[in-house]
Amino acid sequence: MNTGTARFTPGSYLRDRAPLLAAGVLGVACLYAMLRIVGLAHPATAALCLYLMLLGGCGLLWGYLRRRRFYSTLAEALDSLEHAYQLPSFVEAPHFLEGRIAYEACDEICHADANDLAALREKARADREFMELWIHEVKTPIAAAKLTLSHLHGSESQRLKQDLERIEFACERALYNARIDSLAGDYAIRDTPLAQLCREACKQLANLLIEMRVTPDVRITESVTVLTDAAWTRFVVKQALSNALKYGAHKITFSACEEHPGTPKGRTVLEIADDGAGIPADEVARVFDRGFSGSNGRREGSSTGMGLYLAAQVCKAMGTGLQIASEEGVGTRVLLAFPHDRSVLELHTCT
Amino acid sequence: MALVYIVEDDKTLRAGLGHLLELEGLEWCACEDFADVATAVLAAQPDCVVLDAMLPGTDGRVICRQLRAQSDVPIIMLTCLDSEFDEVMAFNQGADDYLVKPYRPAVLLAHIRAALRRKDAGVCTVVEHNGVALDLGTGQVTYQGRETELTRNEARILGLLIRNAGAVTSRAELMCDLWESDAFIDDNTLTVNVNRLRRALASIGVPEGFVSTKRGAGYLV
Repeated sequence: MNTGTARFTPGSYLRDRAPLLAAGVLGVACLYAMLRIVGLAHPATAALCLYLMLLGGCGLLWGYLRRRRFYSTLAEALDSLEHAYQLPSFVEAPHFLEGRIAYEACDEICHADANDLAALREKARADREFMELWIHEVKTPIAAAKLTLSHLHGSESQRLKQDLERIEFACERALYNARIDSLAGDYAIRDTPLAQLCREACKQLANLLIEMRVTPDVRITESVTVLTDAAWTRFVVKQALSNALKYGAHKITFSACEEHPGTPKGRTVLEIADDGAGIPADEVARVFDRGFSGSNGRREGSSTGMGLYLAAQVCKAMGTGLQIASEEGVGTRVLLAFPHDRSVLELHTCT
Repeated sequence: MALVYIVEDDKTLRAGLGHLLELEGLEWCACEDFADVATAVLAAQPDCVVLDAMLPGTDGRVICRQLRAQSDVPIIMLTCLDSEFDEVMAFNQGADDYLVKPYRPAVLLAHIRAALRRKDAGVCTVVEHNGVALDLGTGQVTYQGRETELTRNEARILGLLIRNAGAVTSRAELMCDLWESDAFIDDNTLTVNVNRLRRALASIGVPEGFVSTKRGAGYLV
């Protein structure tokens, strides 16, 4: 934290007092000359002057020492502090005047800062809370609309069902965005059947997938399970599906394989492969950036650049590996890696 | 006939749910006043209770506990809250099942059916139209004393067509319904399945045109 160039050293202390020192030396010299003119003997004059200089030196040393104590605690505190506004509570007020003036000013600034920060935090918390509440509120009318629609037939109702699916997924995205900061403590890791999870994700977007003539193919053995939070993982899978949908895929294949089984590095990798437009090579690295929509997204005009960012954040919080491989014109592969040994993972994230 | 009791404060949701149950051949009732839900529910002696977790002036979980104290009727909790804590809480209060809004109607229905099956409440699984009777459980289809067995997909298609009898069922709807049963078929496979269904029906003498194609719209029985 301490990035300033000013350091409190004996050299800098003396340099800072150079005019005072010069004036002192000059004063002693003048005194010596005057006393000599008056007729005092050389040894007595010299002794007096030396005595005066010694006194001055002691004064300087005392001043140096009392300041040094303050500045060294200040430098230490600045290096270890997490937030600048905590400074006054870690550093005692100094006893010398300039120090006290600076300290009081600093104290005031820190207080104002702490208040601002608390207000902002409170606002962010209230916003997040409202967002979550709002999303929960909107779920009831969505459920009601779905029920009403389930009695209606024909192409209009089909279109409404698709739009409803879109709204629902958008709400889910908003919910995860609101929760993203508190995600890490909010998941429930369980042994989750992978094939079932993928099928459920497809079902939640069924109307959209069918409309766009996208057919999922789940080639995962029923017995394959992974240690993960089902709801969050489903959200990530849905994000991959929604992207495949957007970029003109017709077939989405789910497959899974085990890597390094039985070792601490053991993991199950879920691959979601589509035959859509693919991502240009120079953009692949940035797809997880917040707000990055890429040339595909800009062409479609419906990309917010939030989906994969959120997916990446969710995966990071859960300790799931997320990777994307793509070839333009051939398709995209989304790879989700679920570690077998969560305890090893927890150990790694702790250290 | 099985009776499902709906405890839900949202009117649209309640009516929608009721309608859905009627189409499935289930009876239902609901309460409008949430002051003493437990007594009202117990008085109705339902075979299954669909209980919203958040109600005006009261808490679904409290009602759940009250019900469980006096009856072993299957309780399906519906909730907007999807944290692990809420789920565990629901089960701790005695719920048998737990669904997070917004659920898909077909899924809720499947859960209700499963609850009724466990309770052995005699769910009627046979649907009928113009003399063609289909047992949804076994896929057995009967027409004028002759019968044949349908595959799972064919039975599912015919079941939906008969439930929507008189209205055109779109191909997308049929596909969605099949997807719900884990059969992620594409458009061509649906055509193949419908043609096979027609052949199977013809083999027991069902007149041609029982399942008619409405070009660009879907199918109709």
